[in-house]
Amino acid sequence: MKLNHTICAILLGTHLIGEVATAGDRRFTYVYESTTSAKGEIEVENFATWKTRRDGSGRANEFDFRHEIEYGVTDRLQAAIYVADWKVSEERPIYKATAFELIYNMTNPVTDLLGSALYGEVKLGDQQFKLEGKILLQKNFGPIVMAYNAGIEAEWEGERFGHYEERSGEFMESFGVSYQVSPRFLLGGEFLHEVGFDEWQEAGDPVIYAGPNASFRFDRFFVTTTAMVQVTAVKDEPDFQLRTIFGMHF
Amino acid sequence: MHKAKLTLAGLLLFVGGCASFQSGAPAITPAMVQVAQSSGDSFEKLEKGRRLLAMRCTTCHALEPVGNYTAPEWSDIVEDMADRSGLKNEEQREIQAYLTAARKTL
Repeated sequence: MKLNHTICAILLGTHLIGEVATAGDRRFTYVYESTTSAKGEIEVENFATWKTRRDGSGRANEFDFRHEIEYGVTDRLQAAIYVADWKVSEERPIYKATAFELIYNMTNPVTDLLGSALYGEVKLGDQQFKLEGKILLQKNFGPIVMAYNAGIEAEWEGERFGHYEERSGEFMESFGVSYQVSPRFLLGGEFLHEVGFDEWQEAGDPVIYAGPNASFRFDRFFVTTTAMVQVTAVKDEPDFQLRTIFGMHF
Repeated sequence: MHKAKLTLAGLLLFVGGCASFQSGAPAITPAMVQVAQSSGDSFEKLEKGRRLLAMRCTTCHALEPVGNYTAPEWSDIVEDMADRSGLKNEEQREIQAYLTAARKTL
């Protein structure tokens, strides 16, 4: 109960940050763009993901949430804290982890041949510790933006904090394309490919998702949503995911 | 052989596409530098303005071709967008200098 009160206080706190400027409205929910916040800018983003899969004769549903505060350290370096990763399971919220992220922009997607950035994340929770590194690539063609990410994640899991007995790894890549229909509405699609390695040994079955996305921009906030269907047939993984990011600038 | 031809065609289309979409942030030319210098601005200021335009404005929306608006209209647009994009006064002037120089040399 105490932990849930703490989560609520943190969530409320993220909404009480003073007047700030936008760091950029996200076109995708699974794919990262290579551009970063300007120096001194702050943005708050809230992620909600619904995952569903067949479970016997019924369906198993999971609702995951993340709350992120991004800050432009320099014009090329962006830092972020994912204040809380949590999920709703059996109708009660469960805290999973907190994460820290850095993105370093190297080249520009408009003026250079290809935009690029390096991404790193450290995640720490009661039962998990994760390290993740990715390369983010992007190219803008007027109203069309294409982005590609590829990365590796190492995870340690256990029954309690500091005692992580299980090790695993994952290779992931994702691709997104977005078209600006109007300044306030963008349409596109995303693709996700993941392969897990239990104990860093044999590769598991590759899981591939694909689906459309839409992004809506308003004066003080944006909403981007992606629906992904699993196009492979891996039974233990969700067969459908719906993610929405709600970003705010105060 | 067929695959190689297709790959080459795809690459040519890609490069052609890149070129045609540069009009939102055209490369700085000697003519643009001349226009800028007549207003007391430097090549470095134009470079910074172009980089800011490409980095900051495109996080939210596509860049309009420079020829779509007059130089005074571009100045007004940048001023309107400044608050939403978090541009400081000096950054606004750099973008305005770049767009003015680009527009005047079209």
